[in-house]
Amino acid sequence: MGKGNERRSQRQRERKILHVDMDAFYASVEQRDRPELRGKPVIVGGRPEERGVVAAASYEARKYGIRSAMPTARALRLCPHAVLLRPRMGHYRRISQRIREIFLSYTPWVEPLSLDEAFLDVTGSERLFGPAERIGREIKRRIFQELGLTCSVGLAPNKFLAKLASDHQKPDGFTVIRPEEVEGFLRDLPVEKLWGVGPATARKLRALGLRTVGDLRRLSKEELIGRFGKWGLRLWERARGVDERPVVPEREPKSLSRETTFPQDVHDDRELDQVLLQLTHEVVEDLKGEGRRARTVQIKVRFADFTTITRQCTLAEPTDSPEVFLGAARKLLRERVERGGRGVRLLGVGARNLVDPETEAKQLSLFSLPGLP
Amino acid sequence: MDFVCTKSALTFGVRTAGRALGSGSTMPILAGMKLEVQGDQLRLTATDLERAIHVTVPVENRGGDGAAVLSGQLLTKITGMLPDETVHIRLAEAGDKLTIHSGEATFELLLLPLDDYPELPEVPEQTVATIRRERLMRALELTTFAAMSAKETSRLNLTGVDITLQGERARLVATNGYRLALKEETLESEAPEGEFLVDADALKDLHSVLGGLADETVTLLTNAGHLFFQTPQVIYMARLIQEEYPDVERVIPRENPIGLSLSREAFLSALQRAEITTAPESGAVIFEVQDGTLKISSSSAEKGQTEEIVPLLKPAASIKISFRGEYLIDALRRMKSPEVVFWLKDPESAGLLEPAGGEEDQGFLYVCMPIRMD
Repeated sequence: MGKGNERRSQRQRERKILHVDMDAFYASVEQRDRPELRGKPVIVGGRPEERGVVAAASYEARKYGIRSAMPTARALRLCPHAVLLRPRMGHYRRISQRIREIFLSYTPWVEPLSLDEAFLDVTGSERLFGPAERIGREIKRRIFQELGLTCSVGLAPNKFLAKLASDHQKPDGFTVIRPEEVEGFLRDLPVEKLWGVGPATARKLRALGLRTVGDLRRLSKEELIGRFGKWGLRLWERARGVDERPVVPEREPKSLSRETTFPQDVHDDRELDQVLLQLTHEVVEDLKGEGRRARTVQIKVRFADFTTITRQCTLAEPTDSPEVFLGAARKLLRERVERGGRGVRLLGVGARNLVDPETEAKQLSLFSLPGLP
Repeated sequence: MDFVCTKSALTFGVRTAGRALGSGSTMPILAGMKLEVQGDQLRLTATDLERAIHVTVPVENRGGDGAAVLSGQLLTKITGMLPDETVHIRLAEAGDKLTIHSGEATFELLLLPLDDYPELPEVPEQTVATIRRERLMRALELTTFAAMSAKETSRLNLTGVDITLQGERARLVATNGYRLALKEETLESEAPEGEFLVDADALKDLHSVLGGLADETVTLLTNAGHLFFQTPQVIYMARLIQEEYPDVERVIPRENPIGLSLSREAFLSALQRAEITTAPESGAVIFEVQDGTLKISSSSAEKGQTEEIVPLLKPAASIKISFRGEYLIDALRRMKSPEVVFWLKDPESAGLLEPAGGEEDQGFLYVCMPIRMD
């Protein structure tokens, strides 16, 4: 192995992966929006007469044994006084988008798993934002302050361990697994907690007398492959806390933007507004030309002292309307930019999170199971 | 080990067993093919531990029984190029090389360690069911395509085909969570009740293997962990997926009120045309029934749009709904019925595609969830 490889594997050992998992996401959103539901068992899911299943259950409802993917009829038998709400997917999607924007302000390496959980690789962010643990805590704090929702965060050297960590203390938890703690953390963990071990595999492992990950570690790679085929190799790796899978970010969000550098620094609000109007119209024309709509409006301001800031907001609906776009851009400039008497050197307007009206289309699924939309 | 066989028998055996060869990257021995001679039979075996194939071919035994393992790739290459129909294969006295002699050509091939070859489960005694070969092949053709690709590993159960046996019926089901294919077939005799979940890719291979055989029936056997498909010449062993399969009966919309009766060919070709201009992300094709006519259309920002009227064979109530065109094409091009019925309820409920009478696709049904257009 050459020196380059060594360095690479060294770097891999030191990856800092966060797993952020919103606590009972859909149910928590409903409880946040409707204070009268707080402290009560809330189920978000399909109606029992339509053979619906539970999409999310508040922690109060979980005390009755209600779990995701359980038929709603059964959930209501377990807790007859639970409040049953139909999912408002569009609403959850928009909130999820705002959570994602918080993630993206720390790292471009964000891999959403669903609306309510994501992996973040913050290895390269530490130089900018400080230690990974601080980044994780700040994300958690911002999600609570800006959106009124709690989440559980795991920080570890890879995805598998980060997910285990976020699951370790729920709700509202923060768990760190350091490289030197991996072995101890895994040793007494029941085999069911390993990713990919379903109830049937777990039964098989238990029949072999293997209850914990520590037990599993006694089997050789060959024995595991012999018994479980290609899954055996993965079991062997997971039992040792090995997981080389990278965090795969979503396809880079396409964006459109226009900006203008002024010949002389501008102090006059009316003049800035005039330019904002002009830039907005150009961006909206580009948007329409591509047959797209934007979910997010962004402005960029560079001051006379070359400090540059960007401010953005997410719209309720994707838009290509100049009025809506301009309204959002003006609000950003007026309310979210602290000029402090400085002149403006450059002004920019951008459209981000572009969607095709067609890609808004959503393939519905046959089974309401976690992991499928 | 010293025997003579025909080139055609050997080629058939090596090609058939070769489908189960492993890549050798995790365990080098899995890239090897095992040759075993016993009496006047040669048994060829390959396995990647997910599945195994044994093929038996007749030989003229000249020097006693024996076994050897050598590179499957090498053997496949050589058997395809042998110059003469008669092939003479002999293990060197030292036991370290295999000689293949045909016409004027002689190959001396290095062996892989026989002791490293994995021990494969014995074929169990207990027969579960017997089914006609063409029937099993048809059931495989109409279901395996619908499973989830094995690359998506988090939903292991959906990468399989669920095989249920009850009485004289076998039911095969595959789904990727968005569409579902189900085929019922008749068994040759009553079977004990049983359910087996088998990797869809393995079953696609089984379909190809069965296509190269002349045997009339296939016998299914099982131990706790594997399902075996046996014919006089070939044994195909597949590891069972030890996961629960979802309850599929509850997602089959047998009561859908709106039935679109269509010529299968006309429906299929209209969908294939519409498919050309679907948006790449959704693949959505829009169905609009109004005043008794069906309009199929698609559009994408990059490519443009397509629109076509497809004749309805019977009047139907109005509805507007959209589906991933590819999902419907997948099923329609494998069906054989001249007419089909596509049963719908509302824009957010599953559609049910069925053959309209006739023998050809009897026992087949296909469920597809629509695409919601926001």
